[in-house]
Amino acid sequence: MEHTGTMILAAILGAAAFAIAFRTPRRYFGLTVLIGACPFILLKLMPHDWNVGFGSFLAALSAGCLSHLAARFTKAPAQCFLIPGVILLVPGTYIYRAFNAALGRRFDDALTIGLSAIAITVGVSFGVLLANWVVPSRKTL
Amino acid sequence: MTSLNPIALDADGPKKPSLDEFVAFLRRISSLLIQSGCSSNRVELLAQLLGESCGFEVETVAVPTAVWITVRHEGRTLQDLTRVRKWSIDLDRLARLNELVESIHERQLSIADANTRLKAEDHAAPPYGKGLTLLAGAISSPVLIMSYGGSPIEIALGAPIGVMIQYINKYTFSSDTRRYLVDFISAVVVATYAYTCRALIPDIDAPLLIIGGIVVVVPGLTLVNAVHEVAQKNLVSGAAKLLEALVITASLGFGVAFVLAVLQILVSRGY
Repeated sequence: MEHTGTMILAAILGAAAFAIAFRTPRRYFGLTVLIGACPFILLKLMPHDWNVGFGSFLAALSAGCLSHLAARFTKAPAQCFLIPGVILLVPGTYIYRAFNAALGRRFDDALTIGLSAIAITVGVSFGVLLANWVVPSRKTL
Repeated sequence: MTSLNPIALDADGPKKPSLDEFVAFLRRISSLLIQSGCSSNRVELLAQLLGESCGFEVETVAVPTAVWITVRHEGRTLQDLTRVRKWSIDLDRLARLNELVESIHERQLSIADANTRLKAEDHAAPPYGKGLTLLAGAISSPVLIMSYGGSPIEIALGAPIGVMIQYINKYTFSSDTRRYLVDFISAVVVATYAYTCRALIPDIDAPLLIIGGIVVVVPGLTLVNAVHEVAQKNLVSGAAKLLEALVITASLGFGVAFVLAVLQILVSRGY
């Protein structure tokens, strides 16, 4: 996606679609879409030569911090804001491509793509974990 | 959507629940939280918090398929186990349960009233109707195909895939007995559609359509949650989620491989 406008539109539409699919409460829909679009836009704006795991880590960290801040203001669970944003970062396409390569007996490809998937997964997980420390979560959900 | 109306406070606040009443409530809310997509470590923390609020000593072990609860009070111990047989992400329900817990913690709601509200959860309507949910599917797959660099025609062809996947996942194979089939069937439907489109429009990239459709059900979030749980030393829960992600990925992969094998047979016989 070369055009910034198209990318922002895709991020907003994607976050909105996942917010509906995961049944985000109606009263938090707008805020969830705004927060959900941010990590995807951040990830796409990062230089292409950056490590995919590191890029995903930073994007997840931003999603986590924004979600915890939103949770503090709204008293809703941080997950309401976090999940629609994080789902756009998870390496679904890498997992599928790695499995497909393994099925097609292209084991070198499967290993390379699989390792990228693991790097992204660990990056996203630790980004979310670190966000808990940067902006401590509320006492309940 | 069920709203939480504030209840009138007694002069002394809500009365302390009995041990049996509290365990029954804890069992029900833990089960609902796991069913709504709450992480195991959060369920354990929440149970402890509720115990402190009501004056009980609580220990809980939560995994994606069950919750073990031990509650102690004045020399008496009660243990309970609840099995969780289906789960998905329902953020609306999670927000309502969060409000309920906060009301108990702030002593605005008794456990008896909370139990009544939990029973109403079984009949709570989803926040978005069927049409809007299917529209979300029609948007998500094209957005993913666009982000993978798909052409305008591939992006347009992604919309029906998203609708089909949402319909299959949310409305067709959601019952207990058939849910193990949902990932395999989703993959078969998406792969069949993609290769049918390619037969009609040879320029399109069928694997791109498959990925755009299937990524919505690929267990990426489950995998992230699994690593999250393992990192927090919830090893059993993390390992169980890793295994779930592996089984779902395998089901999706076999679904696509099944369609490719059938196509290969048909092509080799000249169809």
